[in-house]
Amino acid sequence: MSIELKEIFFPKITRLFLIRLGIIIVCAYPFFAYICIPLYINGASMEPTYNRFGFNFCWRPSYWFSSPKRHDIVIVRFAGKKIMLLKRLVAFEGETVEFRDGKLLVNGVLLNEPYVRYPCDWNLPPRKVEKGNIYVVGDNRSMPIIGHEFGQTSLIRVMGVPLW
Amino acid sequence: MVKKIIAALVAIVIIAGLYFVIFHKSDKDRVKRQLALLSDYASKYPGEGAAVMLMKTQAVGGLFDEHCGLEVGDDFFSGDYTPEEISSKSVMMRRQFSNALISFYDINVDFPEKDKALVTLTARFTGVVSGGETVNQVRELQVTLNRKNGKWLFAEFKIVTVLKK
Repeated sequence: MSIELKEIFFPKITRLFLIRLGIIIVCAYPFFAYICIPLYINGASMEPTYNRFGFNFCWRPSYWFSSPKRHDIVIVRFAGKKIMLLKRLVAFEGETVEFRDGKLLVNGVLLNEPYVRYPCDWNLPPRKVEKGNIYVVGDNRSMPIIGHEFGQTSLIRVMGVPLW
Repeated sequence: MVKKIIAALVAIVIIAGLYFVIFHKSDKDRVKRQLALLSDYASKYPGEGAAVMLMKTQAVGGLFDEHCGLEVGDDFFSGDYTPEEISSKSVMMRRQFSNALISFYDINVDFPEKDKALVTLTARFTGVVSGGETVNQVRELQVTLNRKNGKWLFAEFKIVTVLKK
């Protein structure tokens, strides 16, 4: 092993090294706990856009200075601090959402969704998105409607967007 | 002599401080303790004997108020129950599962009134049905506890609806 590699993998424990290590630890904790949260994807509801068992980060600053837009993929807090849902934003408050023969209609108009690749046969009567809420749904709608977690949720629960 | 007295006083303060930190239980700790007990009594571990089951199902009722409301999105469990009914529901649930584990985390405790605690938490239920099928559910719950005779008792369990179709 060359001297350079040895210095990288087996650094000398000097005062400067300990200061550097301390700074990294102090900065890394808030960064990965509150700004860029690591995620393990454990569901198939966003396939094929995001595959099951994938890894990503929840990038929180996305909506600090702007609001979510239609077709954005958002991360919704589901339970506690660790369980989140990855979903597609399809409608805003005051809009009407409906599924007719697998097609998504917003305010009675068919929504262009090139990201939905699998066949869908869902039917859901029209419903209005309540104040302060958004309507989210996964890209994979090939399963029965009862088996897919989707619907309107509070905007407060939106944590951020996937980093890639 | 003065030095000895100061040293003794410092030692007393340190011991008193340690005693307070280790043994003092706040209301928040007591509420969390009730949740830990519920998790233990409601869980069924592999190979659990009949005597343990009997002890747990009898003890679980003692954690609940006279009337406890369950709004858990399941007709089998949802309703208003007495502690005795909670115990018998617990027996019925145990018969359905060969093993079941209920755990609570991300616990946040508030006290909106003097003898009332409002807890928001994440509940995870993992179990194996007697037929072999695995169940794994995670939900955010709102739990209300009332203090009766100095003891915190569960009064309501409600699932937080995150997505409404």
